[in-house]
Amino acid sequence: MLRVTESVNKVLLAVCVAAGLLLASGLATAQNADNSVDAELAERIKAGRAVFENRRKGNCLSCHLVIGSELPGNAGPPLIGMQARWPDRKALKAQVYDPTIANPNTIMPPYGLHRILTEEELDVLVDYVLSL
Amino acid sequence: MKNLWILGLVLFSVLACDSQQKNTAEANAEKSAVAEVAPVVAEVSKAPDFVSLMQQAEDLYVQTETAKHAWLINLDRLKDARLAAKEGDMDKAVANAEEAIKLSELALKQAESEKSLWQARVPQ
Amino acid sequence: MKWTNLIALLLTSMMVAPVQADPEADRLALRDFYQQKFPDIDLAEFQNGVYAIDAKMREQWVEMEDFPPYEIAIDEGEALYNTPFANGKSYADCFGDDPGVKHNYPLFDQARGGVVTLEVAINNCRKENGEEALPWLVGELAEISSYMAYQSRGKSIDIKIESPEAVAAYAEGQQFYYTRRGQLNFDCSGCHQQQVGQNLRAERTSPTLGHATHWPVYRGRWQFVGNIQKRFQECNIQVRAVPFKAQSETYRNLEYFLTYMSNGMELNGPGSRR
Ligand code: HEC
Ligand code: HEC
Repeated sequence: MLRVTESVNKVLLAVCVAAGLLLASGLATAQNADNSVDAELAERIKAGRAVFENRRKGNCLSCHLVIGSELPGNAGPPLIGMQARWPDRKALKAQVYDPTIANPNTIMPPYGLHRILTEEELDVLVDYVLSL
Repeated sequence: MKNLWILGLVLFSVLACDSQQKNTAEANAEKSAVAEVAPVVAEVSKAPDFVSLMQQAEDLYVQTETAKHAWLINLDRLKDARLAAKEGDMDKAVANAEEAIKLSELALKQAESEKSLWQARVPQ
Repeated sequence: MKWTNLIALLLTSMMVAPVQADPEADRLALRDFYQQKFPDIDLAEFQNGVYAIDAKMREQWVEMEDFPPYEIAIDEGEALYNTPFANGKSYADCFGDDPGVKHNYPLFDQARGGVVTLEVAINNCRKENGEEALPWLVGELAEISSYMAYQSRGKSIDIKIESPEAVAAYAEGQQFYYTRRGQLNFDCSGCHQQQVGQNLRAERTSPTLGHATHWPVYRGRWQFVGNIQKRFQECNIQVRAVPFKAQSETYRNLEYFLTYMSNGMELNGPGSRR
């Protein structure tokens, strides 16, 4: 009797595992399309972060705090909750392209206008900033 | 008649100041490499357009120096353009010369607009 | 038709003509500016640069000043200063019995028609006595000026701007200071006034006021003493502008303006900075 229950248990377990695997793989295929978009965005955000931190590129940390940054400057406002504050991606890019339009006295450099960063660098940078 | 005299004097002094400014514009950097370009470019006989493009890039850079508004990055672009031309990579040479021209134009624009903007920053 | 042209020309030339600068009004306005920014700090403290506004950095600096890193430069400078030239004369023949003359420099030399910094005066003295000029920014010249600065400690900066030509030189220096330059588009006041005391990464910027009191400076990053115009070059390069030659007319006028802003402040050079 004991043996029978044991084997039944084993079968049940096997069925459960199989079902679980099936379910999981089904879900995975359903999500596959989304995943590749996520992966691409993650790559862009990573590239954007590199531009943001690199002293010869954005060097944005010299003036802006972002969460977790080391030795940030404080000449500019902390960059947090960006998605909510900058729903218009174009406006954010314009701010980085030429901040003197919004504020003629700003000390933030005009990264696009003065060709400090390329178009591609600006685009991935904006992806990163929106992720903050 | 007296007015004409005064005007002449004013004009003369303006011009004199202007030419003095040119003489004293000692913006540093390596001496304009205009002299250097000619022989380098002569080697690349295929690219007569490049010669004039490069000349334009060099001339504009000298203008930014005279205006005391030269940008460091411009020196790199000019150097890269010369080097690429020497190595026969004309696409790269042209791209760098064109970039240098754009940079010079921006620097000259900065020089021009700052002529009136600076004063507002002086604490009153 | 002729007359309208002439009037137009006259008007444009009037627009080109610079507004007469008023150095003393500028200096007082600058002091007000910083007094409002830092109401709790005695302005005289600004001779210590950024250490006037940053207690933590000041602590490290005071410790460093226990064994001043510029001391060797003062000694070397003294020896050089007292070594006679080949013609038997010496610096004392140019500067008088007291080598502590730094508070008078830069001065506007009417005969030469330009600003003379202490470094220019030292090299002029050498050339007039048949010696070679020394390199401007570091080395023996910075050592000699370190010694002279040391001998001038406690004196108040006393820059004079008396002739129209001197005012014009001052005005050029002032315009340079407030003009944005370089690909990064900064003017000197952007960092040293507008954003004074803010952190740019690990660095905090010091006030314009007091920038001229303590030169030459031994900088940790340099590991030697250097003159103020070396710092000008660095601040130009930081914003990706092509720097100017040491002791060029541009930098001499800039130093003239900048030193006048600290007029009346006590000299405490040579100094040490990070
Ligand atoms: C020299 C200092 C400085 C640097 C370097 C700098 N900024 Fe700024 N930034 C500022 C200041 C100051 C402001 C405040 C608004 C103004 O003055 O324009 C600002 C504003 C902003 C804003 C809008 C603020 C908000 O949260 O709404 C964004 C976004 C921004 N900066 C992004 C960047 C990025 C990205 C970089 C690097 C490519 C950068 N900044 C580099 C000084 C700087
Ligand atoms: C991008 C910001 C920035 C700009 C623009 C800038 N500086 Fe500086 N400067 C600094 C920093 C940072 C230091 C080192 C910390 C300090 O003492 O302020 C410094 C230091 C100095 C010092 C030495 C201060 C001392 O106590 O020894 C002088 C003098 C100076 N700068 C002059 C200038 C002049 C003149 C200009 C314009 C040509 C200029 N700076 C532009 C950032 C800047």
